[in-house]
Amino acid sequence: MKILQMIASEEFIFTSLSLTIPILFAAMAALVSEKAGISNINIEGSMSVSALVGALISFYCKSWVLGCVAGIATGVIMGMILSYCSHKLKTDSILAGIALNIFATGFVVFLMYAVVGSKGDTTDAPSTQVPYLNVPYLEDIPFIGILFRQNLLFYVVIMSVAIVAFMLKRTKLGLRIKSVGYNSIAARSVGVNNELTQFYALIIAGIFAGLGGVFLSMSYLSTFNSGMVAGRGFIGLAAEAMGAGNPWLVMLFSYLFGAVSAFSIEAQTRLNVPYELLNTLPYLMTIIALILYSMKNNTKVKIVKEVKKDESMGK
Amino acid sequence: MLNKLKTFFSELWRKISDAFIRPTRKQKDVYFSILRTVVAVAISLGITCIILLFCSKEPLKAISTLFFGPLKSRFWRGEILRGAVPLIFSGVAASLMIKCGQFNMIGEGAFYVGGLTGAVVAIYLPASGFISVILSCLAAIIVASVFGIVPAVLKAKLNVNEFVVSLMLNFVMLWIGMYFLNNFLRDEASGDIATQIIPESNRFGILLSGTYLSTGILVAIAAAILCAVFLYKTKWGYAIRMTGDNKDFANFSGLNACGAVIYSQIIGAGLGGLGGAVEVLGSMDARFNWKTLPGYGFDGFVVAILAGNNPILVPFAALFLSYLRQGASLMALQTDVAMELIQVIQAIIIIIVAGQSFMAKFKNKIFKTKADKEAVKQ
Repeated sequence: MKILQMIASEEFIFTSLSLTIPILFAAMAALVSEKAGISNINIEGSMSVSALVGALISFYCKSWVLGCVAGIATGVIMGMILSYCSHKLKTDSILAGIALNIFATGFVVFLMYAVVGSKGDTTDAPSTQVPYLNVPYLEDIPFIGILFRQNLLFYVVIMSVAIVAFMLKRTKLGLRIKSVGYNSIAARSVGVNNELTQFYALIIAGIFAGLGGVFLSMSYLSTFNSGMVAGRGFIGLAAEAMGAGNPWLVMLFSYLFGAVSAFSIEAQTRLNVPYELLNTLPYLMTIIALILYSMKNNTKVKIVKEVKKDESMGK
Repeated sequence: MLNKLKTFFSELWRKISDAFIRPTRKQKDVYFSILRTVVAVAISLGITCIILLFCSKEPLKAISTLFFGPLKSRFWRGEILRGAVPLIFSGVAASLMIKCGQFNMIGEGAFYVGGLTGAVVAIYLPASGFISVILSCLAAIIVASVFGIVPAVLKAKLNVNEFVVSLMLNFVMLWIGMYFLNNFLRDEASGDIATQIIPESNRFGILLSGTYLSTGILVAIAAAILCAVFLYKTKWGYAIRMTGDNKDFANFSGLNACGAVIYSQIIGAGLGGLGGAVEVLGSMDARFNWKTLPGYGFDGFVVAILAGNNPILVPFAALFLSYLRQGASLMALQTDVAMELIQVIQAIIIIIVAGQSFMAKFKNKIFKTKADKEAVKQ
């Protein structure tokens, strides 16, 4: 009963929506790069570095716009570095991603220490926060109204899902990205520059990763700390896998992960369950989701094989 | 007898001199990869020096402490060896998994649960001395391997991405460990979130006086040698290597590729667990007090790549990395640079060493045989 009350409360929905935002940004980044045929596991690291850069710039310039721009730029640069590694140096993209994640964990502390003089967080340099935006009239609607009393970045993330869906379906770049990911040799044979297309995809992914990082340090909290991203980039990868390449489905699963994270946070104050065990929930959920997803996929593969077998027998 | 010795040595000398004067293609390959690694490391250290020139107020002092600081005193030389121990375990684990084509990050969590299990067995089990140490290590291996089964089986049976699963599992392992540590194992007297003191008889002893180096390093080296033998001299190791090179080919030639994927990752997790136990039982804190993941899962990949995924070379790579780390921590103590700079160096090393096109043109030049050159002329 207590659990139901908690889930139905407005606070819970609010928390789950704001926890969805970084996961959804990460999932969109994963979606675009996955469509282009690159496994981009660098999202976690990009988010971390952009979160720090965004927070610092917004503090020193006293402007959240500049902070956001700096965060996005950082994400894009990280994407470009990944592109340089996998296209020019021909490093395995997973290894390059691992390397960039290591780089990010070290670099944020290094930079934070060099600029703020602290290794833990940037409490001495609180970031200028991204404002909340209440849509007049719409915010008063019961139940749905909560969707219109959100942080600016909430609207941005919903827009970006729509933009990604549109881009992949209707634009030249989106179709090229899909063709490269689907069959790079065929794409090359009709004159698509594979590496350039993947480069663009990584830049778009970088923008999303940057926004996700910026949200964490400039809206969700007003400071940056080094363990802030806490696997959200990887949870985004899982949400992308579950959504099977459909941006709207990806959004749905991101919300699911956001809700589970919110549950583990809210339940700590309301339910009598040790917080350590609640903390495992989002991660366990991700593993279970991945298992369910691949079980469904594997049965599909089996059915296809059986159908093919029947066809060949018929001949 | 003397004649035999004489012929043996002359044979040996001939082989060695041949290796330098008329190297076979395989030997050339080895020289090239050594040269390549050295150049890559040199480049990344060069970049580090440039970063230091910009970021530090006293760059020359920072650079000299980074490179020469840890070599100056006996204590710090011991620290280099001590720091290499966990890196050897995680490096060997990572190289086994990379050889099988698996990017599994379970090292982090395996170190954590291994360390906790080792400490618990050493504290609460009514055994002492050598037996207790062995039981601690065994328990750590078993617990870590049980966790290791999850990503391994999921990858082999359902083709779930082992990288994401292992990363998520790391957090699960951390929080489960924290749960036990906070609620059942915590010693209030320590004034910290830590277990009780591990009795001295149940710990690894000091190997070199005047340093903190424990006898755990012998276990690490033994593990590296055993894994090298396993990988290169047994049929299971052969299956791992073949699966990593080409899974379909391994399957068609009757090797158990699915099994290799599973046991390579479980062994990797077990090695991580052993590493955690050795680290905790050999540390000066004498308690288990980790509150975050130790980070050895990622470091293992750096070591493995530096060592070319060869377990026998892992201890050398681990030593080198540990030397850089001790240099960095000394630099952090004495100057204004954070020691996390080391992770930037590591990232650059991985990217360059794993970059296939790095020095590829140079390699083509070396490997061009006479026949190739004539073919080009025609």
